[in-house]
Amino acid sequence: MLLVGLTFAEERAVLKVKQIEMKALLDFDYKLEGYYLLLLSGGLMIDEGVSYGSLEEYEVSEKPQGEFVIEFQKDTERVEIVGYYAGEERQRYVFRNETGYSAE
Amino acid sequence: MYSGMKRGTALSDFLAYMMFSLMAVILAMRVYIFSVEDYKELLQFLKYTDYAYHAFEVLKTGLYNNVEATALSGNTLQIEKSVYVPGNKIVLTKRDSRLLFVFEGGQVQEICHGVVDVRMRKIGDIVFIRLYFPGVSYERGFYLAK
Repeated sequence: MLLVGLTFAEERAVLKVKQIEMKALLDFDYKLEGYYLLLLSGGLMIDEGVSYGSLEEYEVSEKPQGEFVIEFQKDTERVEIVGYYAGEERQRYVFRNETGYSAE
Repeated sequence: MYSGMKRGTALSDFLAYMMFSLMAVILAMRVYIFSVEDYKELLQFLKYTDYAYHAFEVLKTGLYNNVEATALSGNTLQIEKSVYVPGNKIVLTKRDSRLLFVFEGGQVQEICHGVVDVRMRKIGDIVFIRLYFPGVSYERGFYLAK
């Protein structure tokens, strides 16, 4: 009986974690796209070099400490927006600086 | 005397057994009810996530094609499309619990239902639309430059 209970509890925990992860990933993808559009349209200004995006609001911030990291790389030729999840690259947007041309 | 003792033991054994099985059954029912509730909650989450995802894809096709001008007032977005598009004046709005494209003349296209609230805000040329569903909300940005 205890075993059955434990199995149920484990199942629940796994489902809960998956649900939270799924929500977080979709939110993150939309967020990253939002940053891409903002940078593309000039609604958000970033300095050259490497900077990081906040996960709450659309603004430049310190490097996020969690599993989700939004990184901007800007030089004279192009702007890159890279999203990392759990240390791995998840998505990358690239467009040419100033011209508004987008690749990918 | 001897037989009476024996009968008493059997009875208390039986009672103890009954109590334990009753407790076990109650515990099992509790766990079961919790899992059913969790399962329902998960289903609801998946449903609304799917609604939101689908709504954003429909909005994308709606907002990224032939759009000439847009105006945001409160949580309503007015869209003007090119003149050769039939029904070129469209309003994106929430009515009851539905998110709708309302065309000139009153025809509607339902984008999704079950929304509790819709919030739109503009940063530069980007309109961010947040859809609130029971228990979950999603936000996506759309580039509306013209």
